[in-house]
Amino acid sequence: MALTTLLPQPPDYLGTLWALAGVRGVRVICHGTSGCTFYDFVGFRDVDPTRWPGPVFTTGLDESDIVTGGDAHLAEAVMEVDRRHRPGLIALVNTSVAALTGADPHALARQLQPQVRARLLAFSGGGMRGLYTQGAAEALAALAREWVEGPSDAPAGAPTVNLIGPTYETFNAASDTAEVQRLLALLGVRVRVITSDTDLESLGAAGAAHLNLVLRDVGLPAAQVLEQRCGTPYLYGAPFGAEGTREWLSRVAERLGLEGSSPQVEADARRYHTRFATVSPWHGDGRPLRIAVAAPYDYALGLTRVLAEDWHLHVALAVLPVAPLAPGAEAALRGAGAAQVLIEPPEAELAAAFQGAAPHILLGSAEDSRLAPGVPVHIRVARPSFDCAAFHDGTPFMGHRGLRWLAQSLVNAMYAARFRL
Amino acid sequence: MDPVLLPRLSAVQAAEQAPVVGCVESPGAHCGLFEAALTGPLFADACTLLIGAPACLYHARMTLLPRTLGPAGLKDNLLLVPMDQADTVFGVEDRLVEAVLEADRRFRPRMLFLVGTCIPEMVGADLEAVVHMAQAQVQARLLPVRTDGFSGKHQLLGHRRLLAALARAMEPRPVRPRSVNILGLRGNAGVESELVRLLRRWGAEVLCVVPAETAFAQVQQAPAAALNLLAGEMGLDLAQEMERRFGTPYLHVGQPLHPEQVAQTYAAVAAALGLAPGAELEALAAEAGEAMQAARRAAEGLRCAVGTFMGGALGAARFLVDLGLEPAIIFLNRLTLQDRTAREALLARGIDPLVAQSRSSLDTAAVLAALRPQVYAGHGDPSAMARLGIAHIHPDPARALWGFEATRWAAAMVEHAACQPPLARKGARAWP
Repeated sequence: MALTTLLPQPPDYLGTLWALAGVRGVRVICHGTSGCTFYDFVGFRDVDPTRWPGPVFTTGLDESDIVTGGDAHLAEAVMEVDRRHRPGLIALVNTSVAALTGADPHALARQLQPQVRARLLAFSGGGMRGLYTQGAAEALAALAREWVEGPSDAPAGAPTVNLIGPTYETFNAASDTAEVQRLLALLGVRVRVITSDTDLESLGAAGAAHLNLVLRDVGLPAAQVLEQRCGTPYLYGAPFGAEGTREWLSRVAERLGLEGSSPQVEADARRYHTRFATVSPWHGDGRPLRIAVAAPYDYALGLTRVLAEDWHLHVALAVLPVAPLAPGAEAALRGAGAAQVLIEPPEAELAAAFQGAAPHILLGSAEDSRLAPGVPVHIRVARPSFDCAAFHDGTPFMGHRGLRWLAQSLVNAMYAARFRL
Repeated sequence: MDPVLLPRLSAVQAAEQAPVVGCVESPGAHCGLFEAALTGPLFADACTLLIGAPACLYHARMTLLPRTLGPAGLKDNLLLVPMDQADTVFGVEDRLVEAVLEADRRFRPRMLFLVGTCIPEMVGADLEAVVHMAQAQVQARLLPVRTDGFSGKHQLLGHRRLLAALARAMEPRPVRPRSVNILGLRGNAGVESELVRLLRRWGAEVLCVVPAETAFAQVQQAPAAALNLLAGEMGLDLAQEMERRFGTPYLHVGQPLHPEQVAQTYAAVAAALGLAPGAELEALAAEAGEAMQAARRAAEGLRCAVGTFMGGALGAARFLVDLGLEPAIIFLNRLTLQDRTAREALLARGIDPLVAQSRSSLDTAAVLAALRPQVYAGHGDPSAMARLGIAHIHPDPARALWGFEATRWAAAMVEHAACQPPLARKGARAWP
């Protein structure tokens, strides 16, 4: 097909902005036309209408700048923002327009750095080079490299960790990170920094954590940088389901030299343990319930494990809309129980796959739902999720509480589908 | 910027003379794509093919999609051709021809807007050539639209160019007496506006309301109109093109708010079309007057700031003055046709507020924090106003209203704003 009716996957430029938006105090100057940045600003509100990302500035290129180059505007903007707003860090981010003119914010940042108080970070990608995961990974790694202070002695007292990977747009991040914090507290572990919601001062001291927990693949390069620079080990993976959460907590505890289980952890697991078969309204005609999962890798893998391993449901199809940054994704999904795995399928292939798998339940994005109108039950677990708000912090899919919330979401959506029929 | 440095309205003849608040734009003006992507879905049997960088198309579609939900949602008719790096080197025209053929085959639109953005403009993508190559092979009328952001900011060019493209779907028609088109009344509700209802009651034939659920058949009929009524300046290029090609005159009616202006404009329209207005006008004017009185009782004495508003910022300021509000500052990013007369009317009454252009929401917020108005009427960031404790009247809900219904809406909004307990009101003090 020469055209698409679906949202394109967000490009690297947006991933960069979303990663930076999670850090209060960063001032972002987008190098391009004002319309790009207006859209970015509106987009922040679409992602989470309850949050206040920092202001985003634009160099507002016009026709003559396109011809003659707009570096002077970028330099003026940097000096102005530095003088008037006194931020600790200014990010110079190429939009597609500036990138196409060959603008080099790295060179400009090097040139201007001696003249300004703020640390300057440049991102030249521009949005036609890769997908948002690449931009987010690069931005988090750049922050780890350029802003996090060097090695320091970990403070005495309770062990501390950073949660690396969630960014401003990560689906359900408020709830999932709250649940992860709650679980870690059961082990006596304190969270220092969450990359989707932190500030420059806290981020600067992130090197003092005992362990970095990478909840999403885009955080891997940053964790590797911190391991090299600060000697902080990292652990990659997210806690989903009863068994998955137990394993995850054990691994965290082992790395921190703690007891993997405790009466509090066991009590918490028992409190939220949910067997889907006992709450399910599914009364099929002898055929098994078929489920499709379409989400970014870490979420897709976690949910597949819950559905297939914890609840013994049939995951007929797992779809990754964006190729993961971590290797071995397809094998991991199949190992977790997905019968079929598609990675970055084109629109037509995805629509055909949904039709072929004929799931009763689709856990995916709003665009996945548009492609699968025949599926009776839809649960939102990924962006774009313009038909479903997800800003509350009490509806996790991760952890013990996530197991129960997922069960309740499935049950309610199945009841709603029955009423619609 | 310190408000004390700002000039007053009497010292400013054109928007460009107003000083810019904030040197670095934040977040910046929206671009033509933003306008075109939200206007294309207002055409009933059209599709809108957007061509550009993935970020632009992602944002355009993402902005539309929530607006397609619910019982009164917009039509989802956006089709996308995201460009990659190879397209910028080797050209995108062949892909576009293919996309046009596919759009025609899959969706069978009667009109297909081809909306180019910054990146295709920069690499010299030739939309006219695409039309030339593909038009004979498709049913849809192909309508190319340029919406690059580097030349179109803040000037309604996305709207204007998209509507102007409609002229390519028109052919000369015999003129029907007492028939009109209404140009620039934006929103599907425009076809049910008071203006349309009254014109029909008075015996006029309303052929085409643009853009308001407009169908290809109506666009084709448009050249048969005896008169175009230009309600919004987004229709100006189309009105001028229709005058040039078909000899259709246009009358600028704007979107007046004050009852007297509304009555005068109705009279002018009736005279131009040879219609006899009915007695219902008096009743509607009386209702609007009552709404004005109620708003005045609630809001008299409040200080306000005014930004871009239906009909223009100065027209809105004049309306608010009539309700007893005191404009502390007007953000004058554009001067509309209506604004010119409103400026004289304000100055004649001794109303001479501060004026500025707003480029940065951060700096605008700082100015508002210094001036502490209780009400802000105009486009702007609702959450920023909420943080400042300023009651915000956003004009978007009324963009398809015309006539005394618009007066009643605006008066009701002012009354509602005055009844809110904004934080600014608690410590309100006049400035300077």
